[in-house]
This record gives sequence, C-alpha cells and structure tokens, in this order.
Amino acid sequence: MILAFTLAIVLGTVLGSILYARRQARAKTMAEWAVGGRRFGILIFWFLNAGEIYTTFAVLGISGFAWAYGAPAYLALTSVSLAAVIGYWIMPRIWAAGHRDNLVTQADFFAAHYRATWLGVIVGLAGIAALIVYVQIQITALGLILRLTLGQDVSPALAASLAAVVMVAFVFIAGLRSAAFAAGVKDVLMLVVVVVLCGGAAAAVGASSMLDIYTRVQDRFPTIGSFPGLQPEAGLDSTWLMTSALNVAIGNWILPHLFQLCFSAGSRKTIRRNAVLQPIYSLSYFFIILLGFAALPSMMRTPTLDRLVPREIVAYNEDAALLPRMGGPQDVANMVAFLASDESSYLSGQVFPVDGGTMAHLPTYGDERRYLEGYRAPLAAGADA
Amino acid sequence: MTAKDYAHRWLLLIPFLWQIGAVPFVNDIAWRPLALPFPMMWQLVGIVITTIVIAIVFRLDERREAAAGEGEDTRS
Repeated sequence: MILAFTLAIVLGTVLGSILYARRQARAKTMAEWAVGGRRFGILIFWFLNAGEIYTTFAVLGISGFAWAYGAPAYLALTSVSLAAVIGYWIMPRIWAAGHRDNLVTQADFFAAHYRATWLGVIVGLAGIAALIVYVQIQITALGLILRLTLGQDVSPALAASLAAVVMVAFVFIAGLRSAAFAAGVKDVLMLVVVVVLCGGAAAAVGASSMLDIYTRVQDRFPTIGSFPGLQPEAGLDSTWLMTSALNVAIGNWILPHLFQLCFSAGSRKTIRRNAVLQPIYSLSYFFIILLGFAALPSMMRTPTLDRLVPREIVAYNEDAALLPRMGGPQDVANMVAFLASDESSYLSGQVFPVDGGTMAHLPTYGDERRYLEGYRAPLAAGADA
Repeated sequence: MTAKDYAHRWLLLIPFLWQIGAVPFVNDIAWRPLALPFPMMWQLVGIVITTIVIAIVFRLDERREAAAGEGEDTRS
C-alpha cells in the first residue's frame, strides 16, 4: 500500500516533469538543461527557490532540532527572510552578469567577472567540496525514506546507494526545468503532508488543537520557548542565534546551487518579485517546529502510539533512548506513585525526566552513532578501493 | 541615478534589526500570543515584516527607475 502510493507519486512526478520540459524546450542546449534557457517567470522561479530551501533537511532537521533543543530551532525562521533581503540586492547583479556573458555556473561568474580562469577553477572546486556534505545529508535522509517505504530488509547502505542513483539519474535526464516542476509538486505535497501530520500528532498526544500542543509543551518544559532552550549547556543562547542568523543570511548566496539559480530568471523584475514573496514560504516552518515539539510529550509506548505512528518511527525513538527499550505508562505511574508516597517526603521542587536517558544525551545517542557511521562509511569504502 | 536616489534602501536594515537585533530584548517576555512562545511569534511576525519591507523597496525602486528611464540590463 505504502509502496504503491510512493511509486505512484514518484513516477507521476518524474513523468510529468520530463514531459513538461520536453514541451517547453526549444533546443536541447546546455543553457536549456542547466538554467532553463533563462526564461523563468515568477511562479516557476519561486517554486524552484522554495524547492532549494525546503529540502529533506528542512523537514527532518528542523523538527529534530526543535525536539532536541527547543527555541534554537527559530534559526530556521530567520534564514529565508534575511537571505531574501540580501538576495534582493545581490541576485539582480548575479543575474545581469549571467545574462550579459552567457554564464551557467558559479565558477563561470568568477572566471568572467575577474577575468581569471584559475579563480573560476578554485571556486568550482570549493563549491563541489561544500556540496559533498550537503548531498550526504540529502542521501542519508532519502535513504531513510526509502527504508520506510520498502521495509527494514533493505540495508542502510543499499538504501543510500539507491537514493544516490535515483537522484543522479533524475538530474541528468531532467535538467532544471523538470526540477522546477518536481519542486512545485513536492512543495504542495509536503505542505499538505506536514499539516496532516500536525493534526495527527495533536490527536496522538491528546491535544485539542495544534496550538494546544504549544501550550502543553511549554507547561511541561518551561524553558523550551526562549533561549537558550532545553539544553543550556549546549551554548545555543541569543548571541548564538544572532551570529548564526547573520552567518546563514550572508552565506546563503555563496552556495553554488542558489547562486546559479539566479541565471534562470527571465528578468530582473522576476528576481525582485521573488525576493518579496520568498519569505512567506518560511511561515510553513511553524508546522515543522510544531512536529518537533509534539514529539516531546508522546515518547511513551501506548496502544495509541502503536496504532498511529509507523513502526519504523517508533523504532527510531526507541533507538534514541539510552536504555534498550521504550518507556510505558507503568514507568510514569511508578514515578507518580513514588512522588505521592511518604518515601519522597523530603523532596521538593525537582524535575525528574522519565525518559530512559533520552534527554540526558543530546544529540541522542542513536543520532550520534548514525552520524559517526555516516562519516566512517565513505572512509571504509575508500580503504576497500 | 545617484546614491541619494537609493536612500530608501536603508529600509532593508529593518528585517535585520527585527529578527537579529531585537532577539535579546524579546527573549524573556512571558506573554504567549495564540499560545505560542513570544520569541517564536516575534520571528513569525518578522517574516511578514520582511516581506512588507522588501515590497516597499521594490515599489520605490521600480518607480524611480521608470522615472529615470532605465532599461532592464542595468546593474543593481
């Protein structure tokens, strides 16, 4: 069922986007493939930019960050809008140079603008190096999605390889115009899915509405909503947010894929309009942060959890606890009984997390292990070769 | 076009003052509008403010450039 559903969406999108690109393409040229013939209007350009911003990281990463740290996830709320402010000023300049000198890549820009081929080569290499980490995150996340679809029999390595093949094949066959079509489908679909998930999450934790989740989570974790968040010792305070937000906004336009997108716009007006409208998209992070917060009050194994949450996601949470099992209502009941009894008569004003050590180790033990494995795997592959 | 004609672009500092500069000052406000933590609501409003500010600057830019009779392929 899940498999058929996923296949239908993926194949439908791939077919639709390739057909759309075929119909539009006037010539199969490099400029057509890489920058869509420099003719994109505001709608397609907006979706394309939104697609670049709204990656698998945006969904899984931001909600994970909100779950682990709380307020520091607000960094996501500053990233798109502040990058758009700088983009309003810098994107038309990049676009104009691309239009004048027929540029396709970021390296082209630097080679042409400074009349130095060597600089173009360095920028190209730096861009590739920067994107390796980025692509690794995408492949890891896409691999996780593949395993959720195909089942746990597929090994993580095979899922990651499949993810990489699918990604490369699509990029090679499709070109930028198709990517824009796929981005449009994905943006709409993801927004619907996330809103539905939020509704489901609210029901699963017994909240009366989505906003009620925020009330509940703040009552339970009073420090979650303001800096430094749930983990003061991590050092993610207001100063961290201020410097990081500035860093992300300025650094945004150094990323090769966002830089090169500017070349695809049809006119300067398109680019400026896009800068006006782009920030609106990041309002959807409201739902993503909500998903992360909703996971906090629902970490116990109950019949409702088993019925509503996929087995793989429960296993993922189980893996995050230091103890080798997931807590249940009995664990909470024991704590309540102890606190209510005379044995606890000399305790006052303490907070006792009943979570199998999950919050004692952030990033979670499971996340850290996977992160390190992700780094070891390429090294091991390199040693084999 | 002289530098003076682009003076309205200083408006683009507002989003930075709102979303970055004000962070330490709004962090400890306990009021929860619509049940949301205040610092989160502040950033959500900041996103809308940013769009409004860029829209105003866009309008002014277009008007001034039309008045000066500038074409599409000028810089800035």
